[in-house]
Amino acid sequence: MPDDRIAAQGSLTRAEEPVATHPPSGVEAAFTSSQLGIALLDVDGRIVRANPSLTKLLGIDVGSPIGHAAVVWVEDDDRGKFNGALQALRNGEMQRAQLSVRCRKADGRSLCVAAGMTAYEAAGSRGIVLELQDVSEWRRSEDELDWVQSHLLQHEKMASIGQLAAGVAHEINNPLGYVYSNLGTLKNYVCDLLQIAGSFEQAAGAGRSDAALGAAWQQVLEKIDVEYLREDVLALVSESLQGIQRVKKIVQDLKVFSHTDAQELRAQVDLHAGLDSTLNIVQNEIKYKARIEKDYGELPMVECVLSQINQVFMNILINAGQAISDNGVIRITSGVDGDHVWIDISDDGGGIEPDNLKRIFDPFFTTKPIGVGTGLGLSLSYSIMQKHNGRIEVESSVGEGTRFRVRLPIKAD
Amino acid sequence: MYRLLLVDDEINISKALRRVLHNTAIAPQLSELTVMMHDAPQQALCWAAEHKVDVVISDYRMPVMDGVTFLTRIKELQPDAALILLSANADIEGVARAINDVGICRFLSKPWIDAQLKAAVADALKTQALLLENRRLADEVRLQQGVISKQEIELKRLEATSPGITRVRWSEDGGVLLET
Repeated sequence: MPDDRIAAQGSLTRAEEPVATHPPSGVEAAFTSSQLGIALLDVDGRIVRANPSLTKLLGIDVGSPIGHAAVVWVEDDDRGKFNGALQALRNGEMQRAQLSVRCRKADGRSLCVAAGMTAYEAAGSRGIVLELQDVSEWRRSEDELDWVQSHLLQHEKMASIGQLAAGVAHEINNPLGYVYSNLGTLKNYVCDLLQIAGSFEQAAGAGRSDAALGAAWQQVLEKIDVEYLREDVLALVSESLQGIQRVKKIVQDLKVFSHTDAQELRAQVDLHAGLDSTLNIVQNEIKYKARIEKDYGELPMVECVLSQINQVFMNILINAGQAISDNGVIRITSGVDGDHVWIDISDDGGGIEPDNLKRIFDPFFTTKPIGVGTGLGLSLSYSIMQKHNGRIEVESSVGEGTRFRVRLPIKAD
Repeated sequence: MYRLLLVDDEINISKALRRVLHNTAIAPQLSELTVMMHDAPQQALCWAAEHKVDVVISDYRMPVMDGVTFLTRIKELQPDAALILLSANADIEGVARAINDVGICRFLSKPWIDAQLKAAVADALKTQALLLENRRLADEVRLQQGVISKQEIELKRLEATSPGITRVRWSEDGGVLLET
């Protein structure tokens, strides 16, 4: 940066000349008293005039920026953007450019500004009007809002998980129950097998005669049900492996939901796989009340944050399950529609009253008893879909059921 | 010879329970135990409508019909069977219903402890045997005192071995109605 300034220094006197040509007027007064930081630039982007608001904004002395390239105060990363806009204005490709850049103040601090640049032509000379407005405060509030939003998202996610905890515990305790018990049985089996080995070892030591071995075998048969052992021991092991596999799958699927903001990057995602792992978690709640019918179409890979989309699926599925009192059906279908994919989740539960239907995406709106729903599930689903430039739609009729449709662009922009 | 009925929508649970109860020498009753398994409560009910059962162990959370409802129906079919509820999550409301309304004799939670399971089944069989013996003796006394007839005792015996046999429903044309 200092180099730029020294280079600009040479043209200082020449650049100062136009200042004198502006006569004081009402326009002049407006220019100096405006709260907006305004600078007139020549076609090369050097500052010809700057008002006090601008120098104050950048924390520099009035008059000191004259002759310097305006880009000097722009942070390195944003200079390309700034110069690009300048060039487009100079070439007449556009009349006005609006961009947000970070500026570096004289004291080294960084500043978010909204910069407007307009090409003008007056008395035969062309130039550019640059207006700068400090938006650091707005940016900070926006960041805070984002932070609150992401925490809300996390909180709701945890609340939904909490809702599912009983079901998940049940689903883990089931395989745990039989694997644990099977291991106890296996211990007995292994003792039996060792005993068999021991008997033969003894027989082999006692002369290795057929008679001795035959007697040993007879002894074994008296004490141990070898036939049953042979049949059961492998079945026991393979059933136990199935159980452990189940626990592993459940824990894996839970992990999909526990991703936090920092890891939530968009990726090419197989939505059906996402649906299936969500179902695996939610099904513990649903399967005692409803049957799941899947009729998936062909879906391409979709660019999205899977953990968030899974959360949308989960919210819809939990609601569907809660709408059904007994022996219901939840149907899941999917397909492609132009540059979008859609996923329909419909239930044949109680349906939603028209008055409530209008409000289901409102934050904290819930018809569930205290402690069952937070009232945030669908409103966060809505904002997740918005972030993905997608949509969430609902149709419902009382007594017949509800259908949610999730639409996502295949390519995020 | 005792019959034990295991009902769990997860068949591997029943298989593990059967293993624990197979050929166990912990209690003399258990060595003469025949174990039946069903993964759907409705099927189990159909089976129990025709076969005498001494002990029923049922899961709590099952699709279509929960364990408490299932055990209530079993109790209607076979009032003498000892009922045990096995559950992976202690939903206090369900357990209370099972104890107060159905009169289960044991509640076991998953994962269970094998020794406790064996003890529970052995205990249930012992209590049941005692109950039946008491009733038999009481009937004998009633017979001696002329309160009930030999025929009634025989009917009770038949009903105990083949549930429903003494309650045959006839259709108008004299046929036997098998549907309950």
